[in-house]
Amino acid sequence: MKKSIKTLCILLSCFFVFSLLTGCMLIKTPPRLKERGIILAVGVDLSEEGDFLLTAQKFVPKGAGAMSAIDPGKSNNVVMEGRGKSITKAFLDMQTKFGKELFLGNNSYIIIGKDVAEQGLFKYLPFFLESYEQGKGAAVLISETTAKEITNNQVEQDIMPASSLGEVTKRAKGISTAGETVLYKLSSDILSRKRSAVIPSVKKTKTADDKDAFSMEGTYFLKGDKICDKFSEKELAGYLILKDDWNNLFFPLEYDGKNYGIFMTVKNVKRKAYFQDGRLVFDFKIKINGNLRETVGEDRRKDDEGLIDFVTALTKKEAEKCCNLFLEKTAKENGCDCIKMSLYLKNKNPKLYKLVENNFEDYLKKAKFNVSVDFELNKLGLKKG
Amino acid sequence: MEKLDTPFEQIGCAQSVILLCLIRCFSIFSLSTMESDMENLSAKLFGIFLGFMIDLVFFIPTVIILKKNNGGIFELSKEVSNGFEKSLSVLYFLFALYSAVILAVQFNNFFVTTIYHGGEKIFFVIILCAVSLYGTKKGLEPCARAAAIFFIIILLTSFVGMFFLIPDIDFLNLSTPLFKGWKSVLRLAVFYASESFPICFLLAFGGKIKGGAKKAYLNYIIISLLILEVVSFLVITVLGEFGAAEAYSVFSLASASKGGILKRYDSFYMFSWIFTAIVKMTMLIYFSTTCLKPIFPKVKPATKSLFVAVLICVISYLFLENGKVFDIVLKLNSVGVFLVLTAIILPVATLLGIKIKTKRKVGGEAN
Repeated sequence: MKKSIKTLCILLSCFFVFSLLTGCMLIKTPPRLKERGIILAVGVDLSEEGDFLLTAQKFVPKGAGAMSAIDPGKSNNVVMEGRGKSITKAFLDMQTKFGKELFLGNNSYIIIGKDVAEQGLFKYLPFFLESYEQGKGAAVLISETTAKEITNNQVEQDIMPASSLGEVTKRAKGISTAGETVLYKLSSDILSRKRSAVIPSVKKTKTADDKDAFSMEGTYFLKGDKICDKFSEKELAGYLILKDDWNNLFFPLEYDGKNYGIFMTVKNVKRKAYFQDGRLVFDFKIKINGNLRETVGEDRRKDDEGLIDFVTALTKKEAEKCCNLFLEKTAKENGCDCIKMSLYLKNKNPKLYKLVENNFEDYLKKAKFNVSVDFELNKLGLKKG
Repeated sequence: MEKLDTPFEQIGCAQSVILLCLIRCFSIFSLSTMESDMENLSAKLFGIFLGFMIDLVFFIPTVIILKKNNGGIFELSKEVSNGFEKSLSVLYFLFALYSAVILAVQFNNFFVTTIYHGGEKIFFVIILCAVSLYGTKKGLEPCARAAAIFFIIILLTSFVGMFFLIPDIDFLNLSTPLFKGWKSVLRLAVFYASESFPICFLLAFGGKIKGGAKKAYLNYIIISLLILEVVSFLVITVLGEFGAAEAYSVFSLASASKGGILKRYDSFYMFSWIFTAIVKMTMLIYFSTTCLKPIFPKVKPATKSLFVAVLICVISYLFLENGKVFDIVLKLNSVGVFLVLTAIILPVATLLGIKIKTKRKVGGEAN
């Protein structure tokens, strides 16, 4: 008798403990798995009436036989839509229309319409930040048109359209984007009130055989929580170089009708910040290594020695130009700190930071930037024939 | 329930270290905004270190108490007087009850505010107390054995989760700890030192530890300090200002970690958090029941444990109904009032009582 009471106690304890875990809770009739709608990507827009328009790509297995199978030949998703005066209301509207308890735990992409982003992101992000289901590592993107267009885009390059969105963003790093911007890093930058976040932009496009596709349309930088401007290709390169995030990426070089295919890696970026003649001065010493893969032009230089010197000088000049263009546009024109200069100053020169922290934007606009690149060419892609 | 009263129920040094670390882990997993300010995240790392050093200093009276009587503070207080023993027991009981209520309310708040919005307020507290009551019934040693299993699982899962966060570490988020001056560092040090239950636990059960309470406490301090510093370092360097703005920053850290076959690690966080809460609550009920022994010597320990658990549920319910009162009560703990009372004032009072009594005895014998 005593033993069976003991066993019962053990079983009850196990039941109590596991009943606390997600999905097992007995409070207010929790949804079972088949009653849940697994969201893969969410788009946020504003309707013409000023309401929130939420669109979401929901995972729907369409494989033959077992319902859980994924058929790579099919799109495996449906797009849902909801409207409301708040994102929560729009989310609930979507839930009501589709009769599923929507689950954000698998949502990896938050797409914001450009119009919405221009008004300021921070009134839209708390819905995602405060949801315990939403992973804080989800990528945030800005749609060049509406977010709905992106969530609706039935790209067939991957098992799910949302997966190809992630792949496209990653592959476009250095070409048109600065890589993924994740939710918690974006929030951190906005909350700092000093730094400027960058967000890649995406657009719906068509492939050569007229199928739906995504194309990355560049990278926006923010001022506060609003879109400020977009990087040009060179400015984007400057941003990634100064951020020490250029790792074996293609760096386009062109001179006198000749194009050079060069892949380079930033080894380190040494910074120094000080005050001179009433203004902030930032010194950047950048060490870069690279490989030349190809030379496209009328005639290839005869001797490799000359080519090494020429490409080295050209890359150094071009990298410095990119960095200066980036700093000119972000810091000098707009007073935006995209590369954590304020944090650097706070760490390395707290006294100076305290002096400038209240008017950091103004100091940034007047700041002087000295960029010097030390480039080393590791190898030539082609040997002379 | 006999096990509660058995003086021979010993636990190993490693077991006691794990038990104490898990008790501390609950506070680590519950790291919230109130302890840090956004402008000076790095002060936290320094504050934690200083806090643990304060804890080490505050452990000295416990060492002296255990040296005088291996049975712990309650056994020693008997030597002063019965009245003193009862008063001391009441005070420690109230402290344990206070800690248990705080734990129960925090446990409930996390579930209701973060996961099960609209869940019944007292439901989670009842579940926690019921499971902990069973643990208390089993005794100290079985609990320590269970804690060892939880601890290994928690360490392994945390290690995997943290491993995938390494690429996201940004050292620029670490500023000079004294950026806002010593005041903010000291405030944080007091906050991190204020976890006084491990000292109370050793004051009562230090004699039951094979290898000595001193060794156990030192190991506990080293391991907990290491865990807390690593977790805080990741919260600061990975999450930056976002971590400081989050109510449960370690939960957000787990939610941001993605890698391997698992896309996120917050489910592991929840697992760890629930088990640390159970271990801590079990120990608090166990400790409270021990405190009640001199007051109600004839009542069975099982009845006393049940009484404590019911009391925790009732008081927690009242606090859950009055959130503002709970915030005030919670602040009392963060300023170190209870640490000074339980680790310094009460043990020193006991030692003084013994000294006075011995003096009187010697004086009486001389006369």
